[in-house]
Amino acid sequence: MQVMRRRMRSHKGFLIGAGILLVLILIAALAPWIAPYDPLETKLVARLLPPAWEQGGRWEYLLGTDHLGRDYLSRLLYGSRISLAIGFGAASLGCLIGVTLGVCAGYFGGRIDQAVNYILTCQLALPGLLLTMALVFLIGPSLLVVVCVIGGLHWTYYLVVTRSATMQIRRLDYVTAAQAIGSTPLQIILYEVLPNVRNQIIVIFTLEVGIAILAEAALSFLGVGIQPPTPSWGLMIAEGKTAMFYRPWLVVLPGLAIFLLVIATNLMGDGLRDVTAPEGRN
Amino acid sequence: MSRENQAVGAPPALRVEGLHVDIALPHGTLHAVRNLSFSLPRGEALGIVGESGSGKSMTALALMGLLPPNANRRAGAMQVGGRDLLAMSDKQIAQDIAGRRMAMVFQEPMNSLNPVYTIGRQLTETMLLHGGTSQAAATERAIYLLDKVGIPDAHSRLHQYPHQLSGGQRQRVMIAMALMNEPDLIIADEPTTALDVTVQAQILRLLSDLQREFGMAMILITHDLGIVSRTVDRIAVMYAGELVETGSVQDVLRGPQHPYTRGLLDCVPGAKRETGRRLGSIPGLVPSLIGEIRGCAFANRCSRAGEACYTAPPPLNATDDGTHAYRCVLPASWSRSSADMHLGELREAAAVQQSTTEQKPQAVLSAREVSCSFVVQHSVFAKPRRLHAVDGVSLELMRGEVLALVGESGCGKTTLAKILLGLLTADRGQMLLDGRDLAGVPALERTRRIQPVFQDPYSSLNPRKTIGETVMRPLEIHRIGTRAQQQRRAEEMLDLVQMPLRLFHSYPGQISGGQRQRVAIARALVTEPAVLICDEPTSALDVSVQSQILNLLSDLRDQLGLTYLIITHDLSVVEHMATRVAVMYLGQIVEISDKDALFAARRHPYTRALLRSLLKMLPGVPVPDPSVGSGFPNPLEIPAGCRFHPRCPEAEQRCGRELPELGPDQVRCLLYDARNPRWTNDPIPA
Repeated sequence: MQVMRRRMRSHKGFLIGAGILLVLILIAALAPWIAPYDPLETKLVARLLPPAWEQGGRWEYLLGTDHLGRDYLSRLLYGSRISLAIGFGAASLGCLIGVTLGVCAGYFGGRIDQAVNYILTCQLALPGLLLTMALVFLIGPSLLVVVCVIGGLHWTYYLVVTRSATMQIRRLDYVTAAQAIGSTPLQIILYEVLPNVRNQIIVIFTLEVGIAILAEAALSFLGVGIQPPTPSWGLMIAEGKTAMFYRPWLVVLPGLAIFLLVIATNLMGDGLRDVTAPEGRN
Repeated sequence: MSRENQAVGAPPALRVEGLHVDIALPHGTLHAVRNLSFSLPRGEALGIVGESGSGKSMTALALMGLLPPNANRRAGAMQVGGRDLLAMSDKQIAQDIAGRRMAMVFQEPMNSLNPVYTIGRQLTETMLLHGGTSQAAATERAIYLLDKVGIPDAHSRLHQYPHQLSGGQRQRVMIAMALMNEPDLIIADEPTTALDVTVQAQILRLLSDLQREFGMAMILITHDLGIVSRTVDRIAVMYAGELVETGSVQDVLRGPQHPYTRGLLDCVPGAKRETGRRLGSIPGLVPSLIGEIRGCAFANRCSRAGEACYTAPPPLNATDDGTHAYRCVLPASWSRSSADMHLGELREAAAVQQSTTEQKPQAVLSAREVSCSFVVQHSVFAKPRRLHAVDGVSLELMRGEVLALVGESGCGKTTLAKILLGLLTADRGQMLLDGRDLAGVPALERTRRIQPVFQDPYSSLNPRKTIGETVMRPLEIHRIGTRAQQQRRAEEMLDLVQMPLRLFHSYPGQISGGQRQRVAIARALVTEPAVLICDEPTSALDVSVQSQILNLLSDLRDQLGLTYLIITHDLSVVEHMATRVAVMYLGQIVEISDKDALFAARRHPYTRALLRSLLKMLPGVPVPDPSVGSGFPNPLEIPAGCRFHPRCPEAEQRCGRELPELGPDQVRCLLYDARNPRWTNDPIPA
């Protein structure tokens, strides 16, 4: 534990990623207090204002306004809530599904392993985005539906990693010792197996957060994700794309926000992987 | 060509002076080998002995130029056959020296041959690589050497792949490969540690014979004092990267001078035929090799260390004739004054053993005609085959006894242990616990009565749980006591296995291998079981730690009245610990007898082969021939008739037809006759 803390402190990528993520989480939590305007308030007299430093920009709208005259900065700040909620929500759901299947397949082996592998093969053969769109379309778009659909389709990494890790741990003597003292499989999985795959799961989780955020952006961009007028970064790009060539900030700013959030989670994931690696394997 | 024929004054096969190996680690420099000097005349065999971390393998790697990239080698002189290695470039060494003038045999025959090439190609390659040889000549030499190392039908073997050979055969091929270029020096690093005892004796015999026949020098690196005593001329004892004692085998083993060597010799179980005595042990731990050690490296564990030992490096002392040198302040005569002290004190409570045998013995755990088999299918299209791991085994474990289960790998002893622990279900047969059918005993009740201790202390503890949590866990599973009571009980158990309580909140990564094994024993004992099933409890440990664990197991048995089933291949552990021995071969028990009877007279030919393979510490006595076929027992292809007959030196024709039963003498052999003096009056040769 102490070694890990020391390694974390000296790992630049991890520190940068974690720092950015922390700031973004703070922004999401404090959005109502720091946003200068209501993100839904339209002001048609102030439509499509450029950011303040450009020609024609006004300082009261720091990052300009969109086609309905809504303050772009406020929308970006509120949009972080959607992105983070979907990122963490979907990654958690995927984690639950993938880890459960992976640990069961790895621990019990045999038929169960074969069945899980079959499910995995099917999942890998599905065209992900298409299926996501179809599902959201069928059930109807809402934040919860988007989280469930993205999470329900992004669990393969968890499964593959936990399955092989569990198969390794299962062969070790401390698992045999636990069996020999009469532990049930559930007790063994919770007490002996999961603590030893925890680090791998955390690493995949951070990477999956980034993937889920991108998936939400893509869905919203295609119009089957978050519905207007809720501020979502993907949706903001979609709304801005018609004016992309003469009002580039409408696309660039939310694009930058997405980039920043995803790169932060990835940096943190990579950093965690290095930090938690066993001695001498960096 | 013998040693005497060598010209006087010819350079030694190997001369090393002031060898240092430093390994750069993130938190400092580890001095793996410190100021090592020795020279090895042509045709002589040197045994380097030491525990793990003593730097013996690093020495071999440094000689061969195979050190890991973060290691740095410094030396005053390093000469092979008079050629100075320090003056040569790496490329030159690779061309002229490594593999040519000196060759190495590694520990793991499974990993040291490339599985995708035939052994013929791998053998000839070592010769062709250095140039100047034709393919035909190389092939001819390969066949000659395969024949020499005892691989029958060498010509056709050239086209086989490593997986088609057994472990012993692979090690033979490795030896042949090392000999391809007629080296002057062969370095064998634990060449038999991964092999079964009968195969070990055969390989060591082969190595010694070849070394003499080809007049090579040999360095044999091992932790096993029995092995060195039988195979080499001189011994070098290493401790914490330093050479602490060197001399002829006779001198060092019969009159050890350095306190460490003496301690090590006292730790060897079965070395003195005295059971009921505690083994000696060396308290404390090897000092950290990071940074400089100012005084004697052994001072912190030495009972005779004075103040000077901590401040100044010890002098190199020599006995009268100067061939026996040791690095210690004590004069050469100190050991004579206390010649017999090191036998170890008599175990006080040896009476337990007697008292329980005098009462009517009761079986705690018994197996009746237990069988277990697995279905093996190598590919989807292959025909599934049945592997009979355990076949009709009946065994009774009496209260208070130590039953040793002995056999080679693949004989089913671990499967049997798993059945006894309830981790596997037998296909057939019945198990009784205290006379009750085990099938009717609830799992939790059974697990409270029978507990395991495992071989590998590194995988038997969960690395994410503290020592305390690990020992408390069985109580949590069984819901015994409150949290505070559980903690108190765990503390008591740690105290019982002599673990300092300050380690209660440590993680397994922070403690040593011996301490982990103590924790594993504490965990097994926390629910007060009656039976401990120990699967090779000490074979992964160093000699000095092994003796501590064996002593602990003996003490616990006396204190708590435990019953042990010890599964092992190490007959010296059997001789030290056991009261009764069951010998297993290919899934069957071939002999059960009292330990003393087993070691006193020959009974089953297989037991005899095992006993002959036991390498006791007898300096000067060559490795015996276990006189047993080298074919390895394959549980997939069980021979008809007596299972041992293809390897049995005594086998007659009817052994291939008739099935022997475990008769009233408890010997499964058609030829055995208790009344015939041929069988009973033939003590095991020393």
